[in-house]
Parts: sequence; C-alpha cells; structure tokens
Amino acid sequence: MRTLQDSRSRSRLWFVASLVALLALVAAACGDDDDGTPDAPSEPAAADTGAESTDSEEAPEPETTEAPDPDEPETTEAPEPEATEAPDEPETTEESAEPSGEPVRIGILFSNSGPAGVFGPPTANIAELIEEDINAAGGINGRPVETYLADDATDPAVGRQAMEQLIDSDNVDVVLGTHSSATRQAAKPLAEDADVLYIYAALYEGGECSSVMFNTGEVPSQQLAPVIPWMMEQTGGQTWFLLGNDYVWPRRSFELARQYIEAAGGEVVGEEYVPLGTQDFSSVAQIIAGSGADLIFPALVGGDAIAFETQAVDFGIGQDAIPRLANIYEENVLGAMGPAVTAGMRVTLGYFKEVDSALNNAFVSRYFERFGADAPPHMTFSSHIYDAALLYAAAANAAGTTDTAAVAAAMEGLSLTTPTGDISITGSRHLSQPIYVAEIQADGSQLIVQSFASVEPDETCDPA
Amino acid sequence: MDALTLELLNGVSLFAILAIVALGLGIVFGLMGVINLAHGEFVMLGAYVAYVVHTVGLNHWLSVPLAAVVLFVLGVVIEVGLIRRIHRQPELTILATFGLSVCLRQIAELVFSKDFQSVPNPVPGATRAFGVLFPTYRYLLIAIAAVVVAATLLAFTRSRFGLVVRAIVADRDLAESAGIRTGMTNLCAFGVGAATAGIAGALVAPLGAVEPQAGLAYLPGAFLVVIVGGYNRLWGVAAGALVVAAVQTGVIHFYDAVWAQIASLALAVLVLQFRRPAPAGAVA
Amino acid sequence: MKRPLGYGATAAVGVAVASVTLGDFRAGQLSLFLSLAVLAVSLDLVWGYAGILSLGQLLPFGIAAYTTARLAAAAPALTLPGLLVATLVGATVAAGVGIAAFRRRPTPVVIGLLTLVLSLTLEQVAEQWRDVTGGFNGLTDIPRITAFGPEWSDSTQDLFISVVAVAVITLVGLLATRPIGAVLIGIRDNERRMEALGYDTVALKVWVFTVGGAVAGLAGALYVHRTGFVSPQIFGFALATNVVLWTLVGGRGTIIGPVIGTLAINFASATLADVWLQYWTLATGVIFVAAVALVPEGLVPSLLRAAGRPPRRSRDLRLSATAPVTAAGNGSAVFEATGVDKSFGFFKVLDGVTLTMDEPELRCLIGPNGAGKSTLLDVLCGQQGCQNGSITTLGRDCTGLRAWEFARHGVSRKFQSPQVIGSLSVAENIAVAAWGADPSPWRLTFAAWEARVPETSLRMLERTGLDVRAGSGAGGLSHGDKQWLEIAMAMAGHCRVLLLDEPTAGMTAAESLAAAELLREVHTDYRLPVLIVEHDMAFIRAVADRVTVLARGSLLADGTVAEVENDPEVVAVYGGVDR
Repeated sequence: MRTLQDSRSRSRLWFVASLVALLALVAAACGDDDDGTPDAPSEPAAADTGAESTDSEEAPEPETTEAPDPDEPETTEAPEPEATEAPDEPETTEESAEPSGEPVRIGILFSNSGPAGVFGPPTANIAELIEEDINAAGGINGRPVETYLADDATDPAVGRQAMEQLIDSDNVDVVLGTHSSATRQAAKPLAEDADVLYIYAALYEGGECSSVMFNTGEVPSQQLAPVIPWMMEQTGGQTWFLLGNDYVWPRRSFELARQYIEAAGGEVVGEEYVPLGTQDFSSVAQIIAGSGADLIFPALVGGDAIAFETQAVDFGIGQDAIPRLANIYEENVLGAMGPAVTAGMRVTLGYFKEVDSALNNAFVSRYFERFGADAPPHMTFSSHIYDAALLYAAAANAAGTTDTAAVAAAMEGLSLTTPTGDISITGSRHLSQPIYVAEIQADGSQLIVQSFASVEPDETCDPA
Repeated sequence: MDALTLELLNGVSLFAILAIVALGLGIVFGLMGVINLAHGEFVMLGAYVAYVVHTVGLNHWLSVPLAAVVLFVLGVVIEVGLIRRIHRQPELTILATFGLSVCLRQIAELVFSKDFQSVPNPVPGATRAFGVLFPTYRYLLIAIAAVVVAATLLAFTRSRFGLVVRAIVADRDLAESAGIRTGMTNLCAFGVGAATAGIAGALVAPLGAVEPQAGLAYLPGAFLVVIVGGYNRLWGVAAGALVVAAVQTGVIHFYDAVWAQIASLALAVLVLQFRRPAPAGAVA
Repeated sequence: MKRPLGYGATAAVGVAVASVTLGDFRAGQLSLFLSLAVLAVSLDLVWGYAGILSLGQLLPFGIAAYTTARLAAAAPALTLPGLLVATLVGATVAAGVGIAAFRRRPTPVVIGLLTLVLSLTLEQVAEQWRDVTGGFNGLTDIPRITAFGPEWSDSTQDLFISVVAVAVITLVGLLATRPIGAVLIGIRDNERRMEALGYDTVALKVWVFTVGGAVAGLAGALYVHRTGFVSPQIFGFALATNVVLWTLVGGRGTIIGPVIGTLAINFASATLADVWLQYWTLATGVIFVAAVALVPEGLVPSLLRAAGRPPRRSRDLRLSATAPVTAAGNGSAVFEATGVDKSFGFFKVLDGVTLTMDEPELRCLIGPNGAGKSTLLDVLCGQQGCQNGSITTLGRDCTGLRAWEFARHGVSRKFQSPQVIGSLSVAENIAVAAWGADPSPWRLTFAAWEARVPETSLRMLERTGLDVRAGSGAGGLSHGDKQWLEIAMAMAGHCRVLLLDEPTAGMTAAESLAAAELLREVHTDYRLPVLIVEHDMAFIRAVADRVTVLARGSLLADGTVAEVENDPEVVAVYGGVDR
C-alpha cells in the first residue's frame, strides 16, 4: 500500500492566536467601567456635561474639580427654575445648598441617528440644561445629577442594547426616554428586571402600564378629544380624511379620532395608511380629492409628511383647499415644507416653544442664547424630556431617596409648573398637561391660537 | 373617466420617477455587474445639489445639469478609487458600496445637518389637459425623465459606443480578448450611472424632503425596477419601471398603499424565481 | 479532527470563565454577540465554503426567532426543546428556499437578490400580520430559557447561551474540516468540475443551505431569548448587510474569522458609538470600504498571510491505493451514441453523429476547429444535452441524464482547459475526486479524512512528480501540471470510461510522448476505454488504436491512424495544412 502524505503541518498557531485575540478583545472591551462605580462616564462628546463640576453653570468643563464657587450669576438673568416650578416641594427651597457626593445618574434613551435622528440634537442640548438646572436647585437629595445619553438609532434592537448600557454599565437611577414605541417595548423589560424607573416622555399611542414606568408624553386622547370639536367649530368642516403612516401610533390615533369626530356630529369619509418611507402620493392624493373631505388629519412622520404636503398642493388638496389638523408636524418638518405649503395648518401638541408664559419665554431665550440662534429648535420631545427630569427630581426629593418604589410612589399625583405649563402625574401614570393648538402663519411662524389647560389622558393603569 | 385619466397620469408620473431613479442602478448593474448600494445616496446628493442651487438663489432647472456634472465627477472618482479594484467580485462590490453609502450619508449629515430641507416647486399649480388638472411640475418631470432615460439608453445601445457596450454585456471576457477597453467603458458606465442618479435627485427634490437619510427610501424601489425589468438588457429598466408603476398604482387604487409595496416585492421574488436559468456551462 | 474539538472546549471554558468574571453587563454583551456570531458562522458555511452569497440568512434566523418567541410565551417550560424546534424551523425554511431557488441554477447575484428581497418581503409581512407577530412593535417579554424549574436568571442564561454558541460554532468548524468541507470548497471554486466528478451540486447546495439554515435558526432562538423581544426589523436590510460585513471583515471560509469579525465589530461599536457618536457611524463606513478594498479576503486570512502562513492549510491526507474498477467486459458496448443532433440557436454543431466503441480501446477523435469535437465529448458525458439521438453507455441508456449521473455511472471527463480546484491541495483534489464515487453529504460528513484512490490515478501523480507536491495548492500549479492533475482526478473516481479533451495542450513534445506511454500502460493494464480529442499527430500516432474524424458536425472517417491519414476526404478537409 502506498500512501501520500501532505506536508506536515506543525502547528495550529493561528487558531490559538485567534482565540487570544478574541479574549484580548473581550478584555479590552471590558474597560474599567463594568462594575458599580464607573469613574469615567461614557458620555457622548456632544453632551457638554460638567460631570465632576459641582457648579456647572458658567464653566462647563468636565475636568473642573476645584472647590465649589458659590456665585449664581444666572439668578439675575433667568428666573430660577426651581423657585417657581415646584412651589410645593420642601427640599427645593434650600436653594443655596451645593449638591455633593455620589451623583444621581439620569439616563436618556433617545433617537440620534436613523430616521428619527433628526429629533436627537434638541434632546442632547436639553440634557445639558437638565444637569445645570437640577444641580443649581440643589441636586437630588443634596447629590449632583449627571446625564448619560444613549442612542437607539431608531432601531429597537439597538435601543435594547443602549438600555442595557444605561442600566448595567452606566448604572443609572432613572431612564428618561424619547424614542419609538418599538424601542420602548424592547427596552421596558430591562427596566422592570433591574427595577429602574423608566419615564417615557415621547408622544405615543397610549396603553402602556408597568410598575416601573411613567408615560409623560401626549397620548392621542389628549391631543384629539378637545381639539377635534374645536377644529370642526372653527372651520365648519364636518367630514374628515385620515391619512397615516402604517404603524401603531397613527392607527390608534385614528381609532380615537373616529370616536371624537362622530361624537361631534362629523363623519370620517376616508382612512388610508401608507408605508413608512413613501415618496409618491399621487394616487393617495387622488383618493383624498375624490373623498369630498372637508378636513384632513395627517398622522405622517418625517419625510413622508413633507412629500405628502408638497405634492398635495399641486393636486389641489393643499391646506387652502382642505384644512389640516396635524398631531406630529413639528417645526423641523413644517420648516422644510415652507410657509407657502403650511400657512394656516393647525397642529395639536403638548408644547410649542411659542407658549407664552414668563417661565417659558425665559427658558426659550436661554436655550437659544446658550446653543446659538440657529440651534435645533426646542420642541415637544425635548420639552417633555426636560419635564420628565424635573418630575423625577421633585419626586426623588420628596421621597428623600432614589429607591425606585419610593420615587414611584412620590411621583403619583405630583404637580409642577414647568415651561410647558401646569402638569401633574395622573393615577394612570400618565401626565395631565396643557394641550396647545398652533396655527402656522404666513411667515412660517407658529402662533398658539388655542390652549386647553390640564387635559386628562383617557388612560387606565393599575400596575399592581 | 376623469378618474381613470388621472390614475393613468399618476401611473405615468410614477413610471417616470421610478425609471429615472433606477436608470443609473440598471446601467451599472447591467454593464459592470456591480450592485451599487450607494445609488440611493447618489440620488440624495443630487437632491442636495438642487437644495444648494435653491439656497444661493439660482433657478431650479439649473440644478439638473449641475447635479449631473457633480455626480458624474463623484462617480468617476469612486470608480477609479474603489470600484475598479473589485468590480470582478460582485459580493465585494455589494459591501464596498454599502460602506460607501454609510459614508456619504454621514458626510451629508455633517455638511448639511440632519434637518429636513426642501426645494420649492419651481412651477407650482396644475395644468388642464386631457380634461383633468394635473400638476405642471409632474408633466415637466415626465418629459425630462423620458428624454434623459431615452437618450442615455440610446447612447448605450444604438451608437458606436453602444455596440461596444452590447458586446460587453453579452460576454465580457470575449469582449476583452477582442481588444475592447472595458476599463474605459466601466468608467463611463459608473460616471453616467451616477450622473443620472444626480439628475433624478434634482428632479424629485421638489416632491419631497431633502435629508441625509433620503437615499435609503429610493434604493428599494430602484432595485425592484431593475430586478423586475431584468438587468442583462438595458431597456429592462424602462420595462421594469412600467411594470412596477402599474402594479403600485393599481394596488393602491383598488386596495391600499401598504399592500402595493408587498405586491411589488412579491413580484420581484417571482421574477427572480422564474427568470430563464443560466445555460449550463455558461460560466466556463 | 480532534483539534477543533480541543480548541472548542478551550474556547467554551474561556467564555464560561469570562461570563462569570466579567460582570453581568459584559457577560450579557458577550452572549448577545456570540449568538450573532453563530448567525455569521451559518453564513460562512453557506457563503465562505459553498460560495452561495445569501443576503437572506435572516430568513431562517428571523422566522425561528418569531417561532421561539411564540412558543416560549405559550409554553415557558419547554424552552429547551424549543431550541431544537427553532433549529428545525430554520432548516425547513432554508430547505424550502433552497429547493425552490437552486434547481434553476441561478447566478450568485440572483441568489443574493432573491434572498434579500424575500427577507424584505417578510419584514413587511411581519409588520402586517399583527395577530401573530405583534406588528410593527413586535413581541416583547419573551421568557428566558428554563430547564425543569424556575426561569433562569440573566447571568445563567448568558452563560448558557455563550457556551451553546461556542459549541455550535465548534461543530460547524468540525464539519468544515470533514471531507464535506473540501467538497463544498470544490463547489465554490469549480461547480462544473464537481459535477463531472459525480457530485449532484444542486442537491449539495440545498443540503448546505439547509444545514446553514438550521444553524441560523438556532442562532435566532438564542438571540431572541437573549434580547427578550423580536420585531420586524430582524428581517431588515441593516442586519442583513451587517452579518455579511462581519463575515467578510473576519475572513470568509475560516469559521473562526466571522466569529472574530462579529465580536470585534460589535464590541467596538458598543464601546465607541457612545464616545464618538456620529463620527463612529462614519468610521464604520470607512472601515467597510477599506476592508473591502485593501483586505478583501478578510482579517484572519490576511494576518495569517502576513505571518507567512497560507490562509487555508491542507491537512495530512492519506491516499491509499485500491484496484481500479475494471472496464466493461460485460459484453455490452462501451458507448453507443446514435443520431446525435445539437444546435446552438441556428448553428448546428452536431448533425446526426453516430459514434460507437464496442470494445475497450484507445480512440482518438480528431477534426478541424469547430468540427464539434468538444461538444460531442460534452454530450457523451452529460455536460450538455442533445436535441435528438440517444446515448447508451456500458449497457445503460443514459440519454437525458445529467453530468453527475454520467460520472456516477463511470464516465470520467477531463476538460479542454484544465479544471482543478484551486483552493485545495493536490492531494485534496485527488481525494475529492475519489469521494465523488459515493458522494452523499452525510457520508462525507462522517467519513474519515482519507481517501481510497485507484492505483492508476496515484501512478499518474508519481510519474509526473506531483506526489511530492501533494500538499501544495492546486491553484499555483503550472498549466502542464494542472493537466496531469486533472487527468489523475478523472481517474480517481468511479472511472470506467475516460474522456480526455486535449490532454497534451501546453506539454512539450517529450511530455506528450510520456503521456501517451502512460495512457497506453493504463489501458493495457486495466482495459480502460479512453476517448481522446487531440490535434497533436505525433501523440495520436503513439497512443491511438483507432481514430475517428469529425468535420462540420458529422462523422467523416474512422479507422487506424494510417488508414485515416491516407483517406482523401480527410486530407481534403484538413486543406493545405498537411500538404
């Protein structure tokens, strides 16, 4: 028998080398912040933190560790937020106390890339103001606060990882979220398992109920119940066309809109859904034109909204012909459509930067002074994140602890006055809040033409 | 009757948009065998050219040739710098162009920010023809798209250059051994493909949002067109756009927009599945 | 064979230790990324080994994930058997796609597009089918794995997932070191050669796609238990391209490469995305482009090359000699091709050709260029079908059979331009040819890493000096050596009839005569029937018992060399060349 032998291979070093590389990689990736006391908060560069600084007001350099310097220049130029925002809060009256000790970590889960990434920048700005304002008001239980930002890339799988990062690696005490419902669904179980308070502050379809969650964004019942009858009265229109992107929030909004429209004696003459990312609305425009609707309720997001509205004008179903009541058109989207398209549209939301109150005017001017006149405009998403942070701080101060159950108990029924207006947590763990209707002016600006104070959400929740 | 006319016009305008958006993808795929996943970003950049033209106060129509030039140059640079190295390996081009699309998107975001922008319609309003009112801009878009698509395809098929192109489409190796300089042809194909994407971007800019992510929305439609039309003949782009536009418009008319999308995808699956199989031993 | 097991065990221990010591967060990341690495490995098996670029590995992955999610919610106690169910679901999905797709012999690009479009379609369906899939928001609160007791804690599950993932990766690595691994590489490199060796390549592709689907299905189940939720984006474009990227960056066809690629990119992403924010996304784009342009074969193979090692090393392979199968001898003719017509479009290549070989002999087939010699050879071994006529080989009607069926029946073929499997060593080429005699994928999975090769084939290697280069890569051989290797491969399988297309092209005159001598020797020893297409008259004179002349698709003459050389018709056909 003859045999042939391959040249003998001496070693399998490559496999071992790969294994070593793998383990080295794991070790490298572990870094130094996987235990309970991270010394280097992994914050995005965009968020200017002043993490170690006890007085972060004027010199936002993260490295500042020098002794606290008790000057308060902003008290003269801007109203002290905590003085007016939570008058019923005993702790906040000790405004001169400098927070010290182990910081309270506030995680912010938001969309900073992907389709919803356009809403990210104002939220990142607000994260700075959250730190500043809460620390200036004495922090939480005398401790300073630090914010930790995590991007969900508008993808629930990434959002879930980002939530893990916040809870398990950054060891946050609370997560404030402004992102899609899909990400909330994916991330919520983590908060529940870790018993971390999770305040979801984005407007959404409603129905969320969990022992660790509060939902402070607008729900459709708030945006629509008072506004739909008002809209019909204002315009005299009776018949509605509902056009939305195909996902949960528009569908739920339309379900409720139908009830309110019928209760007000109106009629829904058409309801259409288009996939996210739709670019051509010609056929849909024809369906709308043929429906004979007096009013259109468009629940379209981002580029879809812009495509629909710019195309609708040429098909003769622009705002001039059929007035709009929108529930998500915000400044960025409206700005891109341009005043020629948007003038006269009405938008119902829980916040506009045009809200006319001393508190809000001061806050907004401070925002633009701080981040520049061309900063991404402060809007309902960023405003609700700010409110959520103030609500958390007030509740934690009231509870005297950051223990989740205790803070959650203190949250129930909590009332504050913020730049948004008078807000209070309801028994359903949602937010009673003002609802504003803005009408877009010929120059593209938003004018608040109607406001409804303390609109109750039509939600029920008993997490026990 | 009017409703039918309108729906027909809708179908034609969708056909024009799909054809002009897919044209470059089809050329590059058919001629070079390169699946260009950055094609949507080329369209997005074309739209940004229109946006820049608008912001500096120039006439919108100027952006159409300008986008063609800008994207042609970009296309040539990318072909020489990247595609040329790898165009023989389809899977590598898929990945390289995917990476390229990520880069272009992020660069657009750094330069123009994430904000939605738009380009105002240069000819607002509608024109009455065939007994119905139909947006004037769409009539112009149909006309320009038809001219660009037809001219490009004719150049690639009927001219002397077209003969070379057809030889390459039929059998690249044979063409090369016959002394045809496929390198130059590739350069032309990729440059022209990018240029037509730029034109498409400038043309559709007034119809929607101009934003860094916009390319992601253009790509799937373009792919459906190329798949349905068949990529081994250049006129397939026109045929594919026609079929996809008809299916989309029809399903939206009789059912709804969501199922129109699913129907188009299913159509692509069927076409891929029942396409004539490659002859045995064709790849020797 | 034992080594991958050893490394796998070491890796499993390492991962287990890492899971326990790294803390919950890193252990959780590790288990998540390892479950994705299993997905990448399934792609490597399908793409890196068998050469099928599947952009739809998410089909079995995602469907198995949804199945697991529904199953775990309905019967939380049955999550462990649920993993098996997911594996089977993944296999079934992939088998369905594979059977539907591969039968039509699509090009790699078509397969890529088809799987991608299917995946995108499923994303839409998952969004719409709300009752089952939870629609746009997906399904959440999916229970963790349990075994005969309360739901496991996160850390227990992370440990379990990491270890299972390493075990599965090790199993796939083992599979790749089996004969089937070399056979899959053969299909990737040269599908036609493999068919001519008796491999039903379509069936093998379906098989490997199914196995890959099973692995992807298991990955889907692990992933969904790990993340606790599933949404339609699991079928999306982003994950589809990312898996390909991890595999490519790590190095295709190495199994360990994609694992490293997956872990490295994901850990880097999770760590750097926070620090660099938008610049990280830009950086990933640049990395993709650079990786493809600069190190297209991937990180692991490039590092190995830099360290002076070949990316894929052939292992010791024992080729033991057996007696060749004896030819015909059962009284029936070697082959009878009757009235064969073959046209390409309007061009008639073969026009009613009838060619028979009654007794085993050395026959040469000659004729001017374009006479249809190679086409006739193709028809005789099933590489091409014919429009009319019948082929009977060794007493069996073979008309309409495919190439691999001819090969299993005993018809071996050497192509005009030498077709060897470039990524495999010389010995592996011979072994793959020998395994073709009994090519069931399961047998090839469990068969030993050795081959029993007919003595004739080994004699070829020895005479030509290829035996001392048994371990070197076949892709690097000279043209002449490739010719010899391919002849040896043709003889290595179940070879009862040998068809050679221009075996001496590229050989020197002396080598040609040596080849003729060798062929005569083999023919004399074993009565092996040989049909040779050749131009070289010196070679023909040295080798042929008989010569058949083909011209313009028809049989012109037939006889001994001398008879044919003096046939006026033949002389006329060859024109002035010989005068």
